[in-house]
Amino acid sequence: MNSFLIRIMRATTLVAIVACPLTAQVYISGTVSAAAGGTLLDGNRAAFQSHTMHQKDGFGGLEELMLVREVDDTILTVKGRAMVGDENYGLRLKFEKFDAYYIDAGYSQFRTFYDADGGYIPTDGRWLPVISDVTATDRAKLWLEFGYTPEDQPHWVFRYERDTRNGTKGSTHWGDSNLSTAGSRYIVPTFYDLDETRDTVTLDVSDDGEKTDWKAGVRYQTTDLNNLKNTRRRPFESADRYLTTSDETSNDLFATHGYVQQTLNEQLKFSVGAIYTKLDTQLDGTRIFGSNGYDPIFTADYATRQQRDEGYYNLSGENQLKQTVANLNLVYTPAPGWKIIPTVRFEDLRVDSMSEFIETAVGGGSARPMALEEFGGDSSKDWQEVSGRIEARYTGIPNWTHNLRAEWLTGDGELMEELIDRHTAHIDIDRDTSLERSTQQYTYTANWYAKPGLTFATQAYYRLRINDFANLRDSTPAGTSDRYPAYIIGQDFETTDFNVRMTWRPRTNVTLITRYDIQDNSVVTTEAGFTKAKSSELISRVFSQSFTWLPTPRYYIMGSVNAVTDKLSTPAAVLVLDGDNSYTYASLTGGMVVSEKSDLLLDFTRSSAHNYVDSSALTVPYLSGFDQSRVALTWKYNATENLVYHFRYSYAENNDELVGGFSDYQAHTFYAKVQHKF
Amino acid sequence: MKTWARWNKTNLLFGAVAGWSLVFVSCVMVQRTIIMPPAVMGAQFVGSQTCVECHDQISSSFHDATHARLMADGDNAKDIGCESCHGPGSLHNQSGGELGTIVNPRGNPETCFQCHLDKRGEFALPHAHPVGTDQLACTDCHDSHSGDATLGGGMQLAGANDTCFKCHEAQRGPFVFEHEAARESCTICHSPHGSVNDKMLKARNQTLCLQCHFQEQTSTGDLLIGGRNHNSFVTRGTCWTAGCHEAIHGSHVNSSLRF
Repeated sequence: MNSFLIRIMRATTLVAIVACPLTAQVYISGTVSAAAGGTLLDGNRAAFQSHTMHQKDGFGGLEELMLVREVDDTILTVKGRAMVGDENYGLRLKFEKFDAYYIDAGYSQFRTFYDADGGYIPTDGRWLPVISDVTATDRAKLWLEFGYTPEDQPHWVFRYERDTRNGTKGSTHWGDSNLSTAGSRYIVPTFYDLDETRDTVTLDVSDDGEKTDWKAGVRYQTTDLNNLKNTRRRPFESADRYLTTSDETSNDLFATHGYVQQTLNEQLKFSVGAIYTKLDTQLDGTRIFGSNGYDPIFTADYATRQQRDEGYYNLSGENQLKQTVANLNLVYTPAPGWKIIPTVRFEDLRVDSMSEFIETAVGGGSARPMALEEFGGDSSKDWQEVSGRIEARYTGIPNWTHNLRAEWLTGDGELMEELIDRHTAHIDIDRDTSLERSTQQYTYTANWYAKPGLTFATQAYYRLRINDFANLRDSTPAGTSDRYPAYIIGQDFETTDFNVRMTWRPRTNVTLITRYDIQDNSVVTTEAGFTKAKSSELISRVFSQSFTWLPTPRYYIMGSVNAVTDKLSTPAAVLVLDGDNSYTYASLTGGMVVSEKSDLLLDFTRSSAHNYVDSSALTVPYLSGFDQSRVALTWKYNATENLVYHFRYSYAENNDELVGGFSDYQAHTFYAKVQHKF
Repeated sequence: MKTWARWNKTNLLFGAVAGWSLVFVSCVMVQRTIIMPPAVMGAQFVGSQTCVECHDQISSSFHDATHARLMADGDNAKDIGCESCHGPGSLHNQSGGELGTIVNPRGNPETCFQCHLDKRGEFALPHAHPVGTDQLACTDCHDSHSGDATLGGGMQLAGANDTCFKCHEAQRGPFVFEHEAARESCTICHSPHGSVNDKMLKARNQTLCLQCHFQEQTSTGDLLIGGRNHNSFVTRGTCWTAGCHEAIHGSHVNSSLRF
């Protein structure tokens, strides 16, 4: 097996060498690696794959191919990979003739695994795994780029790119079940079936002069979505229904941008940029219930229909967005050690949207009749904002840096929304909202290089964003039950943050880094008819510590610890548990020379959260509780200077309290790689 | 489920003997050295001026970068520069930029984690962007060489959400009935590096929405939001998972973002 691989690697090298002209000076370098692995798993396969991004059943193939071939003033770069099982493939070819042109083309694809869990009710151990297949999406990119890059002339770059995303993934929009003794709970897993395609063409021209740099370009992009969200409602009951929401939006985006940077003198440099974007969107979609599987065709009398099964079909419509943004930036150096950077930015936005659709709703009683109503919705929004920032940097004191930044934003606009019943001509929603927003942020940053090997860095900032919403016209006045979002007339977001970091090298072979961050976020809300009140407060504290130690040139040890407390409180705590996202993380990595040709490498990581509270008597439990650990031991064998073997065994364990242990696993993974450098 | 091997006398004794045997062999029998990643074997520091010779486009725009705030005058800060992140550059310089002679943070986030310690833990959480694999790198959302370190937002031409829309096209909108929170930023609800919660949410339960959508209680046990008492709804699940406000990013058909 080994000799076979070595032959392949030598053949790869040989092909590259033979392809060279005999007279030219040729330099070839590169790497080729072949790898394979597989896992013995006891437990939940989807959870294991989503955490490790490896196919449980095994993966293998060409892990890395890198070839660089230089001949005179040209360079050819080839990169590739083909890992079957993980569905991770790629091939890139780039040929460049210096100061003349280049061609860059390739294809890349990777797979992301998901676990499509639902909710778990511990009261009676209720868990409804209605999705049998493992969910995964593949993202792929195909591109072709051509650059015309003559020396001392403007450079032109043309690029075409196609991005796709296909596959299935879990959603948090769960379906309901009445099977639990705790009551009606939304715990049934839902999944997306995605099919997205985006094509982008760009043309850019740029020039880097001695005192003037400029760039201009255009972008044209089309996007097509054909996405389904598949929900199961009350499975294994007489009211078992399948609900599919489809989104078949498509859009065309055109953008043009320009940028100029000019050095006026040694003290003053300025840049100005602008972008204009036009986005035209076509809407298409449905939300349809059925009794016999996902993605049903609309029928009014499906067998298991229930009162309040609401959906729509024949959605059509369009959005048009036009946006203009410009900014101006100065870098002024008034004196040695000082730098002043003022910036202004302007944005103008206009969005017009309309939709037509037929709303479906099932009525009550034993007949459960289907009601169909034709609706039309539309909205338009104008928005203008101006923001400014001034930043001062001072490095006049040896071994110190000070940076002070102040930022302001003011914006206003208007949002009009309508929803009309086409049959009765009744206007259900008629709202005209005046929007105002202002922001201020102040940031101070300092670094102190106290002595060789000892550095302190700190940053503090305060940010306040004030939003005011005045409902100039509102068909759903205070006291009615469907006012979203018009009942909020003011909302202020306030953030205070302070962090400090110390990097200390007490000995040449020891480095310690400590970081502490505390952040307080609060939201103050004013609602129609009520006084201003704090609607939430989030306080997070993050302590981080890392160390590295090289006791001899033959060993190293690196470790790190993060301890995080993150608590979100609201006045609704009587009915809804406060949020708690606290966790701890630890890692330890070590390397050791064990012989003239062998190294041993150790990796250990552990993440834990213990916030879980069994709140199933009140609602679906959500706060997390897990322990996730992984330890890996790698033997690296340097057979020759250019031929290296890696053998790795890793053990991973996951215990997840939130889903009652249904995502738990223990995994033994074996991995081998041979790497040839040339 | 089984758990980790227990610390008993036999295991400890075996581990200690094996460990010390390796240490002994390594110390006594071997002269070779090992390097601690991310680093380059045998390379020496040469200073940022050497890098400018070939990478002048990067160095010329570094003056207004967020990371430029680290640059200081003085003997204690003389090593701060390109090699703080890219490792010692002597071999890279001597070889004319040969492969594997310099640290590229795009391929290994450990370089960034050296200062941004907290992010190492966030990316290790069960729900995180796959940084550290070949799928995504810190540099896909951050620019360490010019302007603001976070791509999009602030004074930049591109908005903060444009960085997210590069991959998450379905959330771009615009929608006939928008969610104002999306106009604020995706990070109002999502932790972009990683979270203990599914979909990298800042909170997994109803508090995510109640941060903004909470009306003062008018009587004990009421949860008045938008004029409607929601206290019985929150028993079924969260605002967006329990079939009530599914179109959380925006809706084309319903102003309450029902679907």
